[in-house]
Amino acid sequence: MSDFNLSAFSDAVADIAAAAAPATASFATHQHRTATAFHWRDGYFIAAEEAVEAGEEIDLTLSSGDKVKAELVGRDPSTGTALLKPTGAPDAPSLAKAGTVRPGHLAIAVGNSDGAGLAAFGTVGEVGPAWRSMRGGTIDRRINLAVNAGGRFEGGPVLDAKGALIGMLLFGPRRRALVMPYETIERAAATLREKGHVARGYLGAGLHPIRNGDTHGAMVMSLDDNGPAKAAGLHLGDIIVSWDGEAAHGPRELIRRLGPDSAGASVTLGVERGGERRDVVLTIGEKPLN
Amino acid sequence: MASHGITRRRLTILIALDDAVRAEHLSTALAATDDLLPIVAGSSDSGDRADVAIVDDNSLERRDLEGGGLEGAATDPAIPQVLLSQRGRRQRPADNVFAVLPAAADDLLIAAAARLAAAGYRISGEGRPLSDRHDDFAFHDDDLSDEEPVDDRAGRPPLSPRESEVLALLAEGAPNKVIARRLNISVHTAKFHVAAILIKLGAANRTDAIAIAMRQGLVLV
Repeated sequence: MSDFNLSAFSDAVADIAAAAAPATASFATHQHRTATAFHWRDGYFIAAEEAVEAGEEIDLTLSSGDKVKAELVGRDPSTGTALLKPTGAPDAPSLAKAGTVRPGHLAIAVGNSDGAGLAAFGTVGEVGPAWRSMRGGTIDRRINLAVNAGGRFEGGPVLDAKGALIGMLLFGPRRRALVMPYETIERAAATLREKGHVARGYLGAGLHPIRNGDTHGAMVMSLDDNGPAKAAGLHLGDIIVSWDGEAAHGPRELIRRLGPDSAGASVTLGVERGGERRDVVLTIGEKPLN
Repeated sequence: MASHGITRRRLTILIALDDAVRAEHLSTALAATDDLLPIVAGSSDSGDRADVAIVDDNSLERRDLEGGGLEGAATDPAIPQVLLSQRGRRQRPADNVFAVLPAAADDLLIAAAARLAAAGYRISGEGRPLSDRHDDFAFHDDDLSDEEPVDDRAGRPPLSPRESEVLALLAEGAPNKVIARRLNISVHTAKFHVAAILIKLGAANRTDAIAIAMRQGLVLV
């Protein structure tokens, strides 16, 4: 430890936060608090989807203190990403992509609240492979943070020890901080910029969780006359119990599989009808995921 | 039209919050509706009998300590209360607390809760706090409450036909402006319906409302 200098270390962390601050902005959420957005590239900003009110123009406060109007280009609940386009071209830097992170690596969460810079510091707590969000989004890496960051940091950049961007800070269950990785945001932002929304897979059925003896599944409560479920011969009262041979215990698990990349795919649903099991092959349709 | 049959006369809403600035702000927002008449506790006319009281943790606690000292009419145990709480609800709220909302709840959400409470609906779902639901990014299944049990909705009022129409448009991603245009209603009324839907479904926001509605068969999957 002889050459470790605590105050130099402290300054280094503060310098990283200060360097990223000009990329950040702040906006008021519908819950009377502020959340953070940050410049992605080409004048587009990224924010946490759930913090952004639908269909409203957003007042962004830049780190300079200037306020600008921003348009909501689109939102992707499957990755928690919203894309904003402020009017004019705010002079904000873009953050470089971070390299691989491992548990224990330093993580610096940066935020902005009404123009004032925020920073919180901790470590990457856990890193895992790709996973699927409840709304069917493919999240390229699973990164949990051991960082004590409050609500105002939501949607802010999470940086590594070089000041490079690991991803965006979001909250999972019990308000645990997690990172939406850079490459996932990159994909979502490209789709939102092109189409203004992301797709979700569509069955065209109203589903309700049901438990009948040992059977857990999703009962068909309603059908879209022009939807894939009806076309495949599903009936009201059918209970969907599996998806391509894997058990699906209810609507939640089906929705998780109907993500943006499911549209157009063919799937074999295991269905119980009148106590009998049968397989129904269905081509997944597409709807905008709002 | 905002007054859609819940009540004809204006509901008197007593606002008894510790945060005076918030109380004023909320009062202004409620006064802008055409069916609510807000009164801030401690003001001269707060003695009138209120239909609903909006309280927070502190004003509620102070009343408990002082054995009924909450200003004016809110002490009347018969008055339904909407609690704006900063705490997770571990304890069952008192009988006259008809709704528990997060402290930072939107004014429209509070208005919707007040209307429902005045109409006698209890909207505090067991074990389902209305805020801070971040289930979308649950990795472990044990992070989630299981599939909504069938009786989850038992204590919740059903959606009105109009609210169902609004929900269907919400699920298509329509912003308030588009909902208003499609249903030929004002943007204000559209917001009002959206707020009522959030309350009734116990949703934290629009996205959450759609996710809940999808899991309950209210929106096509």
